[in-house]
Amino acid sequence: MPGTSTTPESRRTAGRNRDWCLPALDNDRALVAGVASGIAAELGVPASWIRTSFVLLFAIDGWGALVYGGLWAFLLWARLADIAPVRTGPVPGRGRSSGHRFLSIALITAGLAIAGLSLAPFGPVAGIGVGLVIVGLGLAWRTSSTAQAALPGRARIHQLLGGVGLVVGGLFILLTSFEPLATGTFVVGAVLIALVGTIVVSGPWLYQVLRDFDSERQARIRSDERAEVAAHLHDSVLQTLALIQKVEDRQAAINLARRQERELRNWLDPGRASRLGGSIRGRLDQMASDVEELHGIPVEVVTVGDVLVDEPIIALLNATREACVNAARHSGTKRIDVFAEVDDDDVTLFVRDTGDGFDPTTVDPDRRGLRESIVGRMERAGGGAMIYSEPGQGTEVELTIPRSALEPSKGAAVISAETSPPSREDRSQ
Amino acid sequence: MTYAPTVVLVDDHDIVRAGVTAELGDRVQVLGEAGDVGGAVALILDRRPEVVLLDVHLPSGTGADVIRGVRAGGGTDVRFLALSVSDSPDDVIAVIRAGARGYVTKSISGEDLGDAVLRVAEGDAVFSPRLAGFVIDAFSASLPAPADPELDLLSPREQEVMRLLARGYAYKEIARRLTISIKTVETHASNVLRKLQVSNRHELTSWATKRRIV
Repeated sequence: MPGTSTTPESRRTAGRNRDWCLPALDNDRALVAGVASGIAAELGVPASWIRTSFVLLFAIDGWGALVYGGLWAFLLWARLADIAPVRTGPVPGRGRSSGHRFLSIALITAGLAIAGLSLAPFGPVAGIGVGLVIVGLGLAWRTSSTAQAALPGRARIHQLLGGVGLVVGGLFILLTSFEPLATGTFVVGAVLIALVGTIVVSGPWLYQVLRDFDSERQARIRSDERAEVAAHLHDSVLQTLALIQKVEDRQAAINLARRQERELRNWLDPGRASRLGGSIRGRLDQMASDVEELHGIPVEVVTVGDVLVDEPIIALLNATREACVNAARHSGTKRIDVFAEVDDDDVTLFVRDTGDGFDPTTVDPDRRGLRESIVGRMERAGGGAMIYSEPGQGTEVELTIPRSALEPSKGAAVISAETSPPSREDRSQ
Repeated sequence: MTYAPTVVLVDDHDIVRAGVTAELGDRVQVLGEAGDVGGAVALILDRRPEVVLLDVHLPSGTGADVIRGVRAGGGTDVRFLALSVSDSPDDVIAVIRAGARGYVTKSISGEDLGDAVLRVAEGDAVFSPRLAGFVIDAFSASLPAPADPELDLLSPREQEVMRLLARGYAYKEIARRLTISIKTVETHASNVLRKLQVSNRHELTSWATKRRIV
């Protein structure tokens, strides 16, 4: 779709036609560093106008050099920080001879030097130094830019040497114009100049090398992570999907999908299993998964509050499991709802199904599940169990265990199985 | 022909959208589908469905962003039902507070989902057991002195309704259980939803993060 691509070309056009965007350093048409030609391209005026402005500005106490240097540093930073676009691709006017370019550079250098000589704020000599350093840096750094890679090797070396020469010369002039250095020994000055010159000239390469190293390292980390995710998905999700496609039985397919879902959730949140392992919330979820898997009936668990698992809670959990299994096996329900609420005094838990239901008074004494595994177990643990059911109305099992039973210091208040829970009166109809 | 509300589906997974469309069948009229916040807001404002089935997580934002975008664009009469696999309370409470009329999990059966859409289209609140559990949790955190008891606390009857919902009771069953009319149950549910949306209770926003440190 046209208009959504973000090539430098379209960004440049967009920048000129719609809203203003940051000028880019123009490597292709640059005479020094491309500041003037970049701004000219952004404003749509000939580059020579901007260049002339800089030279004239320079004549006013050398401000042109400061403005140019500042803009250059800023635009260079903006490009490295990926804020401004890089101008690439063939540009009209590219085919000028290098002789023409060197002549232009020489003229600008001379102009800067003369202007600086007359009026620079740092003193005339220092002005020349600043001018030489700027032009020299422009030349030297351009050698390393990608736009110049097409130039023949010898031309690049000439350009680099010329740039280095100008920088060193400029620094020399600059440093000797300061009193302390001029009176110091010549050796110190020379070493300083060579050192600063080398660092400044090689700056872009050093930066590029570090940057490449860093992005390579990040790419490696990303690809490692990707490989790990791919491996896990292959071992788990893809295998399960393949299995599901082969399974004839719909229920078996659902069970596979649910088990895979739980496994994937635990993998996505590695703390989940261990965080929930010791709590009633986590155990109930686990119990629900087991029942779902064994009996193929979805179990929806809602837990309010949480408490750590101990002996009485384990009894509660086992009774809950038994109630769920009963519902799944005998009631013919389509789903089971489990609701557990932990408050300051006790833990109350409901297991409800919407299946066939039964008449609790006529339960076969052999149904040990109800009598032993649910009611008996809860009473032994210090809690209670109530079973509400009518034929055709589903079944609800209510389990209660006092929390004070968890902390013997408080003294256990045992709630018997016969205790009528609140809001049960309507059931007596 | 029975009444079939108009619906827009917002979910970034094609498979889920296809599955939901298939499950709902001809119980609703699907007007369109969207997979991100911007597309959803534009589509909903254009088609003006009665109900939007809204995923809580989207690539470019959340379900709450969609609701706010639609409201800001003048779609005040559109009703939202959150449909998500997320079981994180923060996400659910956020989408309800933004204005959704209910929340159901994606494991809901097609039949129940159809009922839920119909109920939302008629202006009622839809509570899955899980949402009812979140609500009880949110309002049960002890508060020394509620700023506005009218909004910051659930009435005993509302608490009772929420507990029965959490236990898996349908509105009809709750009505029979409490010997009140279904309409009254619906009113209680809507009032709870409103309290959840307008209460300034500090707990309601910070509770979700706190309860992770049980």
